[in-house]
Amino acid sequence: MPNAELDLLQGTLDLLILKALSWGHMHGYAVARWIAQTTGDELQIEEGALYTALHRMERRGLLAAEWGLSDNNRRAKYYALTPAGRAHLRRKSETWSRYARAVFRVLQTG
Amino acid sequence: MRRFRRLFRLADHPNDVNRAVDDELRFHFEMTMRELVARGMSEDAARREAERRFGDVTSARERLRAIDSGAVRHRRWYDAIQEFGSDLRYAARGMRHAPGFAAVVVATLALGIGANATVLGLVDQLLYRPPAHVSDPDRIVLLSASMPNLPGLGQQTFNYPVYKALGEDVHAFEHVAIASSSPELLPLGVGANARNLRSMVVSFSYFATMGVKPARGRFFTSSEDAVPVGAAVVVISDAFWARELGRDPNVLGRTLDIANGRWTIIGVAPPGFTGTEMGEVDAWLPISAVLGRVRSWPDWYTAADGSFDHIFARLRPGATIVSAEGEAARVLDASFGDKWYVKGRRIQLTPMLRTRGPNLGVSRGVTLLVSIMGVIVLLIACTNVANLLVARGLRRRGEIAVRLALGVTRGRLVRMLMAESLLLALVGGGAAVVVAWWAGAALQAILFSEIPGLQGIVDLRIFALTAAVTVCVGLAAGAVPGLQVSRPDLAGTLKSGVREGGGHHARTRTMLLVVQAALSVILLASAGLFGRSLINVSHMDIGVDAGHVLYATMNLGVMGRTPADEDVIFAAARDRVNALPGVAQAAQAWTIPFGPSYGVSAKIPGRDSLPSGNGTFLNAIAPGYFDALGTRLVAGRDFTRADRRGTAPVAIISKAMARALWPDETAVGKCMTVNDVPCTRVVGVAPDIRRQQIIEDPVFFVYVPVAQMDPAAPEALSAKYLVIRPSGDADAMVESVRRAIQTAVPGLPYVTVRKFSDDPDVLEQLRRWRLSAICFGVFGALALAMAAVGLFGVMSYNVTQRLHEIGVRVALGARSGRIARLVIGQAVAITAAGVAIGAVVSLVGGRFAASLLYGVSWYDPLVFVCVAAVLVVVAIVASLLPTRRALRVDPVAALRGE
Repeated sequence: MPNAELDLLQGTLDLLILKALSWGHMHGYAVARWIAQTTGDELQIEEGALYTALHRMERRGLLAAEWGLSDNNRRAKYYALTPAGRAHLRRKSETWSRYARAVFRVLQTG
Repeated sequence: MRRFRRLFRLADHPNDVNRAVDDELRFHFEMTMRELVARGMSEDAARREAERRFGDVTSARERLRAIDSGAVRHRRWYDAIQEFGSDLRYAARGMRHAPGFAAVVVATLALGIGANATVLGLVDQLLYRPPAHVSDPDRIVLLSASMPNLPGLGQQTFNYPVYKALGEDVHAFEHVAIASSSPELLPLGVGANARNLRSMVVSFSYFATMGVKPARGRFFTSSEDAVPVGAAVVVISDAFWARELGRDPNVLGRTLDIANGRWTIIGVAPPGFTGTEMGEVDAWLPISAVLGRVRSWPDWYTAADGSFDHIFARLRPGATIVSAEGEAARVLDASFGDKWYVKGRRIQLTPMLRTRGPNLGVSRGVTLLVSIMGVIVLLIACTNVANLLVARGLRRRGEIAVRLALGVTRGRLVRMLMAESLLLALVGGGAAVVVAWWAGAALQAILFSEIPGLQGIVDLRIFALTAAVTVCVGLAAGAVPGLQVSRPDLAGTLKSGVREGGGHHARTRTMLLVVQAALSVILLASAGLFGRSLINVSHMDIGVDAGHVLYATMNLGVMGRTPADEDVIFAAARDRVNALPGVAQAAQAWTIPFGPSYGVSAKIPGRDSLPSGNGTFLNAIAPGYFDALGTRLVAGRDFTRADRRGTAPVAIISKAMARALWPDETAVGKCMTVNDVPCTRVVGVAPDIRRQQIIEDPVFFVYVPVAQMDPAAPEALSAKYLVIRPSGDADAMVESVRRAIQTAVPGLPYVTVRKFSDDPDVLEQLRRWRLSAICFGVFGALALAMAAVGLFGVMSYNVTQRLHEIGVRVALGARSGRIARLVIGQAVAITAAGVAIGAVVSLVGGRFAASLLYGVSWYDPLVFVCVAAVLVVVAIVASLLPTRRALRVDPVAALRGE
């Protein structure tokens, strides 16, 4: 994807990840699959960017990570929301919804 | 969440970080490939597709590693700080349970570090502290001409023609200035409101040489400071502006009544600026204005024979002192080669900062000695603190062993112990700052009382240095118990209890105590020697009862008064003062001890050559002068009112002169020719009175009656001082005498009245002994106190170690005396060893310091015996408590083991 669209995606990617994890703790692969499924494969996420976002948010304290065992007994790193992450998700989804509504209203005029 | 992370071992270490990232990515790829293969792809195709979906794996891996390493570092910092905080809190609690120990450590550190900070501050102030608002003081030098065989700077005052020559011809100098060698007290106002203006008489180039900018207005220019008479302009100091003029914003253009004239204020110097002076300065006046107007001396700018003022210069950038000295020497040889202050002398330029201390009477030798002693006391304090910490560590062995068994790492334990030492050091350092601040103020009041406005001894730089020293001390002292802890086998200590001690430790401790005792001896012996010197010097017979006699003077010459006026004024003052109750005698004179000197030549008719001694000097006095000084004539009679103009010229000569000129007979009645006045008859012989220095060889003094001087003659000596002897306490009379004289005649300038013992010259001469005696005394007492504390600690510890042995002895029938001797004997033995070593070192080193002493030899037995006795007594006292404990030992309990 060209860079300009990728930058816009960065903040949105964080939002999608937070929303995914609001359903419970998941490892990185599961997050990728959930986003793909929920968007009906409309959004193609570059997985490298996904993992970078996960690590960044963990460092900022929005996510907490711990190692656990996956379904097939393999060692995997699970992420979960922290209270700070939950608050961030609430704020950002509101902002995004307002933004989307505003753009939509403009586009609807003719 | 953090605890979970701990137990599940999330990445804490850089290698772990990399491995974790790899593991996470590997899992992702496995899952992706599993899914793709399940959908029907081949393994290879699946892998390719997975990599495509991911994007650039290598750079992603790098990014993830970077993020996680950063997070790990951040977390470690945070944890370390938390840990340190809890260590400090734990240490504080520990101190609360051992308040005696903490108090002793804090006191020891406070005194040791504080004493050092004070000494550092003193040395800094005298030698290093850059004066306020002077730019690059290292580039400002003072001119001096030293004699080749004599130490010191030599001649430091010169004259105006020298200044001019150097300014014009020496290219290494960017600016040259001439300045009065000390502040001149010029009369400000007259009558009851008269004050003195502490002023520096300087050339216009002084300010450029100092590199200072005016805070208000401007400095005087070369046209205002022009020969032969300069303009009546004055620059005032910020302190004067605040004190006398209330910081009037319209100060520029206001006038001051200085001496006999009206002077206009043209500028205000920045706050704190005192130029080359160490004490307060009120104003700066142009030299051409003061010498041309105030002193009315027409040829002042051509007089090349006298020496009056300092010459300072600022070196051009790039010029060295050596090259400048060479140039200056050439210029001076060319134009002034035959003058007494150049001929045969070496021209020297000294950075101005190096000259201030010695000019206050405190030589570099003394400051160096005192600094070394300060460092020694600090070392004693640190070793004491280390000893105390080690002893405390040994007492806590059980607790430490338990901690180690519970899994605390040694590193963590060492950090905990260091936190304790650091806490003690910080508290001690804080107390040290208070000690230094107080001690600095006290030292200044005692030693430099006559210099007003001297900057505080302890300033911000000293505080910062103290803080740094404190932290170093804390870390160093804490390292000792830390090392103790890292010894491998502590399991044994859990079982064996206190009986183990470590012979190695005991030897070190004993050695330290001996060293401390030796150092105390050195310091106290030095204090004793300097103290005796001081007492000798203070109580010397200098010919005037310095503590009980006052003198009064005022600057009449600059007020335009003639010598005849001066005689009248002082006679009126004398009569007023004599009428005061509480005054026993008052008499006026041209000069007084420690005042100016007037050299003369005396001849005896019939003798061609005379022994010249140290020079012959003249003083014109009124009847009662010697009584007022507090002495009595040795032979003959004092002057009376009958000895006046018109009657036969008479004189009184000093004892040394009488003995040299007429060794076998009385001098009374003999004829002398003084300054070509034929046959002045000697009517009395006076005791030898000091001329200028407290320590001085007797000079030849000739006293003549003031009344016999012709006031119109050019070299006539008129009265300039009044000597007053109160019948009671001199201090109480100062103010009343001052007021009596101030209003004796209308329109008088400020009258200065003080005791001879408060004379600035006297104080300056006494200063180095006072400084040494005080500093060594204080340091010696500190060292002794610390040694006593150390001895007490070690004795207590030893008794605890030997409880078992003492129990055995008592059970076997030893009596109390024997036990007591055991303990006290050890203390005395250690002290005796220390005394012996200390005495030997003092005696060896004392030879080099002999020149600093007066009237006492460097091996004075009284001093050494006293010091030894003091130490032994202190040792016995320090071991009293442990002895009592030893005597109270219950043999049964001791034998049982704990």
